[in-house]
Amino acid sequence: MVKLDVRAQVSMVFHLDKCIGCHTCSLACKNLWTERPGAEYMWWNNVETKPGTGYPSNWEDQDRWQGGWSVGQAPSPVLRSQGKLTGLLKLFYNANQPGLDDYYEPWTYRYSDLFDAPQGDVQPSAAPISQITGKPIDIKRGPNWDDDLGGSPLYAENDPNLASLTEDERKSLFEVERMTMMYLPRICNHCTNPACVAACPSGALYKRGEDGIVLVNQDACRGWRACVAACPYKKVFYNWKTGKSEKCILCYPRLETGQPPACFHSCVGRIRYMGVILYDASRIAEVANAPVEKLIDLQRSMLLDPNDPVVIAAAEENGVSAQLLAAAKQSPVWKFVREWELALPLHPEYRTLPMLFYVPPLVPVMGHREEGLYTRAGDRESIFNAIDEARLPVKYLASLFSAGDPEPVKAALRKLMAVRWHRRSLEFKTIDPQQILADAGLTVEQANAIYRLTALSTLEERFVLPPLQREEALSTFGDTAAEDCRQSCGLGRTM
Amino acid sequence: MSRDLLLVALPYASVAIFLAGTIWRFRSARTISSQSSQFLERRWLAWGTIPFHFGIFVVLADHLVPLVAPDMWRVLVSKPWGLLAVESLGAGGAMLALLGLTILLLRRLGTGVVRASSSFGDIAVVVLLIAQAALGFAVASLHRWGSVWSVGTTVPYLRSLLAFNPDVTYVAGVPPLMQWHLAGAWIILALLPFTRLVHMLTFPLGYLFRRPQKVVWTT
Repeated sequence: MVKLDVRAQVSMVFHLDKCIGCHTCSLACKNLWTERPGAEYMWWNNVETKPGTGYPSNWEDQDRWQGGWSVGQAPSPVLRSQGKLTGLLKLFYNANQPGLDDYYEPWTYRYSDLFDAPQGDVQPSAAPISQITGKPIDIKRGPNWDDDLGGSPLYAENDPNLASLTEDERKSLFEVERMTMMYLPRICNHCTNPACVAACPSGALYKRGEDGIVLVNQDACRGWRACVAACPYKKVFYNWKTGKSEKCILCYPRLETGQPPACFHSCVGRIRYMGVILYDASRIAEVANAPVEKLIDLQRSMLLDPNDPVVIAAAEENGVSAQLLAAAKQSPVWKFVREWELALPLHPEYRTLPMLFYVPPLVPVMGHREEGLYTRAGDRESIFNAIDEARLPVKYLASLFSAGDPEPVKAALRKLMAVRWHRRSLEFKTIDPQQILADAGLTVEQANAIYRLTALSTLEERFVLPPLQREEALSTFGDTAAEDCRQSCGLGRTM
Repeated sequence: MSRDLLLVALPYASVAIFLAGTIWRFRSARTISSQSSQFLERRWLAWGTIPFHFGIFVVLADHLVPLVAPDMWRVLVSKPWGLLAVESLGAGGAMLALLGLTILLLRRLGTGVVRASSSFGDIAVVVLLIAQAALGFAVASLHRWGSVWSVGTTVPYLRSLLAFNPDVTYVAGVPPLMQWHLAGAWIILALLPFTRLVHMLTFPLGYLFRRPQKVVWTT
């Protein structure tokens, strides 16, 4: 057996059933980090309405952007956006980089108009002006322009994930009586096999060894923009003012002082969970290059049990701190991702091994119109049929969270459903929860624990992370040129 | 006297400014960037930047090879096919570069968002490069077979400068256009570290040799 190369990763779970789409996370992030010239259009955290095209528009259309990795000759996958030589040719012009049209031209309002307007019969209004040119603009698009437009032909219909549905299923999503939507909050996934890092010609992007946070060294970045094209999630942004690329830093200055990230801390629905995950870095290439149907299972198996003595010993040997190890044992992320298998990665088929996970939303409203009458579908006897008849087809969710395989999504939804029926059974004694729980593969203890962590958890239960204690190192701005891979450096080859 | 100023003092001053400026600029690399404006405008950029960069690579090679290997160069241009090859490559490269630069200048001035985000230096370097490329192209077309006559004039002159033993007699007889072209080169070299042109010093050749993933530890 190959020796374990244990690394710690600060990871997050988004419980989409709880997301109310209020964008408080986006604003907390913006106020803290991107309210600067050149960064106005950046949303390190954004919340998308699905079905929808997201931000930047149609970011999931990898035929256009060539983000992420494709299966390569064993043992390693290959970048879709560029090879070594084409990477250098693309310095001058990168056809896969989104532009202002794909985001939006940032603007503010000329508030002085309100004070300077001559006296008249009508109230003055503040004209919108571009934050780039300072001149009046005709606003075409803005942040969250597609917010809540789940059934719209302009946005929802162009969602690339709809390709997984049949013509009829697609149509029904746009019937007024059946249309539905969900929210998808997105930040950088702090991937284990980051395409942005691999694409950077200057080697300015790197993954921190201790906690897995992916950062751009602003001193080393030369603005070649290969990372923007390579990141399949389009979570690296080019600052048009400084000529450097920027991205979500997982609020590491806050993490280092024991505070949760701004997006996490401000979350109204308390949908976010943060904790440590241990993983086997020696398996990165193998997992990232696996056949698509095995991606979910293999990525799960790459995450290591923090209570396994073999793992603990290997982690200590690798220099994972005692505090991080202790936190890993209490990690809510481990519970959601491995113990309960409720949380899934976003678009695992991009092969970057994203390290943030999502609990798929249960959209159980099954009513629809039949011959002018509102009918509730679903057989009351078989509770889990509801999942197959849910408004948001499982296939759609599978296209988002499990590379098209409906089974992992169904299993998670069954568990969410079973937990609800279990809670209901405590009030209504006529329901016998035993069979439902057994069908979903849960014990009563697990159902209680899921309920507790989902509905009642305190901040301390949702955020289990010691202060990262990296503030003394100050390496973020220093020399990150020297790479020290310890054992495995992900993909081993240079060409 | 003024000839010495142009042909000896200017080159040395320019190289000194270039070296000192480069060290100054790289003390903190925070501001060093390609300053790409592709994010703001990409359609015209493609038509400008691609011909310019590939054209200028060919032109620079056409200038640097005789300087580095004059004997090899002499043999090459003594053959009709060799002369034709280097001259037409150079002319083609220059035309591509000029075409690209013109598009880049029009785009920089004509596109609202690009104009607004341009510094004085961003516009100045494009104008300077157009002037320099046009001068060079004029020399090449008005004073034929520069690749031949330069072997006995500008090449030994530049090498004498490099050897700290400047000998301006080599270039005493070159056309005035050529002298302006030389002066232009020194001005651009001196300005290089202070403008966006500095990005050419950071051409990321290391990318070819590094591992895809990069993990950095501090503890």
